[in-house]
Amino acid sequence: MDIVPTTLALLLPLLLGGLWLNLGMPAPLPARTALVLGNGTLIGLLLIPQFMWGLDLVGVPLSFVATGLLTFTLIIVAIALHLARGTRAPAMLTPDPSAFASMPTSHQMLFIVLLCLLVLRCITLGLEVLWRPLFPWDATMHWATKAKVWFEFRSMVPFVENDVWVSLGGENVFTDRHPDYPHTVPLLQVWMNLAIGRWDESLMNLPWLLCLVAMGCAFYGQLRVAGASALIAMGFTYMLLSMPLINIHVALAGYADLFLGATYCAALMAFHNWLTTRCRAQGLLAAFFAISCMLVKGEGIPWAFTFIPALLLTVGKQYKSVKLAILASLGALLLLVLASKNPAVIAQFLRTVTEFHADGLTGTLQAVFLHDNLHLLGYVIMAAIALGLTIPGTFTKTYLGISVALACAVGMFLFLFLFTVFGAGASSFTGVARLCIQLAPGLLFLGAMLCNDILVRARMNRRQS
Amino acid sequence: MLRVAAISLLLGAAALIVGLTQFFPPQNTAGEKVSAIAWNADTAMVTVGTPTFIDNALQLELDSSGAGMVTLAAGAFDAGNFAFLHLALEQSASTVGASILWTNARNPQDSKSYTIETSEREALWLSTEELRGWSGEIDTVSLRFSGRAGDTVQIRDFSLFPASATRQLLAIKSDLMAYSPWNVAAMNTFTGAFNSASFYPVVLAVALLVLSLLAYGLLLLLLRTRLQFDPAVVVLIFFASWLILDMFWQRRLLHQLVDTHHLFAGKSTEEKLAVGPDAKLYSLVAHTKPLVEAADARVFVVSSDHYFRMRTAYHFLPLNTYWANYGPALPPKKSLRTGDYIALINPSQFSFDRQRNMVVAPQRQGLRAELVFSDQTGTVVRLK
Repeated sequence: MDIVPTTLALLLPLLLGGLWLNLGMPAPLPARTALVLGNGTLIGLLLIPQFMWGLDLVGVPLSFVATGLLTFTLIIVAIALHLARGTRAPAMLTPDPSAFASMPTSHQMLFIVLLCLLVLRCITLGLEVLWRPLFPWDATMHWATKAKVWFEFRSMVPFVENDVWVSLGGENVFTDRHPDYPHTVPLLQVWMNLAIGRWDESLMNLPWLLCLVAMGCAFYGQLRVAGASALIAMGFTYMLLSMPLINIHVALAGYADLFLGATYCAALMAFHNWLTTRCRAQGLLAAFFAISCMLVKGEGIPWAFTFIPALLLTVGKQYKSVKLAILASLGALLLLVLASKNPAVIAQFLRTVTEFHADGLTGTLQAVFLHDNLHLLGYVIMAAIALGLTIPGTFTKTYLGISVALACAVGMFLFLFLFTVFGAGASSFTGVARLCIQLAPGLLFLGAMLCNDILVRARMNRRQS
Repeated sequence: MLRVAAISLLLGAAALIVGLTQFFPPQNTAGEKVSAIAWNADTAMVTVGTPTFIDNALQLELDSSGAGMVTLAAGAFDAGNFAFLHLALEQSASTVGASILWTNARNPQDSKSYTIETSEREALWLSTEELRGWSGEIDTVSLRFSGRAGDTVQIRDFSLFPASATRQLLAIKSDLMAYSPWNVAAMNTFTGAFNSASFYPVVLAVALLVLSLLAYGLLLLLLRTRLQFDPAVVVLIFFASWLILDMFWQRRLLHQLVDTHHLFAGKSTEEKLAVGPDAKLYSLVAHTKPLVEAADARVFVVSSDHYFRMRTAYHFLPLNTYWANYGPALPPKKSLRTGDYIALINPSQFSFDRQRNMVVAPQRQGLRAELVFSDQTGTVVRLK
């Protein structure tokens, strides 16, 4: 009986994002289906909670019907636009068998094996999500707490700090460990429970599985657009979706780190492909996902702002006004976000700065290179960067934008764990690996493109000789 | 390309095996070959629990307190002579805990133990080098079990072996195949290895990767007239190393899935919570919630255990719940009012004095209250 509403609740984000993205994306694109469905689903998963938030803001009680109707209306509009364009509108599902057919048999077999392994992984994780009730620590401390209350009251009842709750006597307010955390992830759980019509601690976590699959599709699609062969793209997609800590965050769903990793990666990929192809849809995607980072988790704010130096260093003089407009918007948004949280947040942050944390460095290195959180990602990235340096202009031209963004992100990550009180999160392994999964997909995307470039150059050199 | 990559990987794997056994051999203080201390069910001493003998296997039924203990008939021996321990256990319930205990011959009061972390105990090889405190002269070695009364454990092997290359590889295999169910720290980090493991899996995978790349380099050198450097081979070697590492992870996921299915499949949310890791906390809350009179009642959760108070507070939602992450467990008395509920979750510095109908705590004023519900997990009261 839950199958229909559950499926509908998962399908609506896919259709919402997929149909609108399909209108914007140019038609002849490699792996277009994966690109549109993957990025579209992520768009839908990020937008629907904002619809719910917006409806609540204007006094509409949280309900599947209200949000669903709004979503459905937008889907109908997208379909109408497709019909209006007639044959000029590209089909959303445009499989491209030629890429597969042109591969040697051994490559085709490897492609299929990898695909089967990915399907097995997704089924394993999906069953884990379906059977297991909410489990992880932070989920019951400050994510699902909001979901449970908002679902019960059909309204985004405010959450405040303990001392404020006490002073207000708990009148019309609730409290949890982090009352100021963004609303996107809890609202996704509310969305699922509203669809089912009851609080279900397993079904409400299915968006995490959907996020994983969408991230994989988007990753594959964007790699193909960036010029990677089908096999390379599939190989690296397998690597992305097989990382243990990413899998754990699906199986033990309830945290926001996976969503932030997927969103930031989607922004980076779209940003890179916008810089190289100047495709407007990719540019809009990059902007959308960059801003959305701030709506998923607190760390999303610094990740979003890594695009500022990247933009400043890459976009040419003729886009000066575009740059300024984007910078101004991001600046205004930052001020809005800071003002809505705590105006003294900068002063608070400065108080957390300490001297160098040797334990933090040890913990970080162990988490990346010794523990199996991300399999061999650390080594792959090191090798890819080292080999990439042998190709002239790799980081100063071809991949300047994405490299600058990621370098800023990694720099901030290291500063957090080496020079602030949060270094304890590295030495005790309670936070460093989780933050790694927010950056790992983007780093792997860069590694994949470097690897592809090395292979293409080698093939060209062999042909010439 | 595929063939060259495969040969490089095979050579790399061979080099890894040789390297592990020759350059990282287990300690072996025995000057001459020492015989293994083999399991013999007839001579093993059962000190706790009820034994039944089946061939050379000993089936131990845990006693009324859920305890069981078996000591190996070994006599005193030099710990350094026995680099490996082999266990073959079959348990009636996966929740039965097992530990290895050993006592020092010079100081029998000085006993050390290692709690077996993995649930894969049917053919478990442990490197004793990794057991903290396994040194000197050992007087007794025992297996201790803890579970529910009536649980059974069949011990088919509990033996000590001197060092050998084969056993070292078997121990590494046991390390890679080890498994235990998710715990609350799972979201933060996955090391891939238990405390008793000799190597992190990533270290082994990197070693395989490096040795395979060196093997490829050697092939290029030896066959330079026929073979040209192809970066695709390097990529394949990297990828194969990742894939091999990932297969152990996939196996672990499938094992976990079986456990999850066994515990939760086919149940409603309430039934899942009633059997899950928070079963006792959830039971207390499930009994209490129907007794809460006002829909807007406030619930204060106190406990000395951070996890217990956080989870209990979560299960009390969507009642308006308060729990302190830091600082005083309860707000000051003037902030509390009649009709508030307080959940005292064990262990707690707060307690309910049934004689005086009062919530008491050191250095705090008592709070007049009436009992709402109580069980082994805790007590819920309503302030008067």
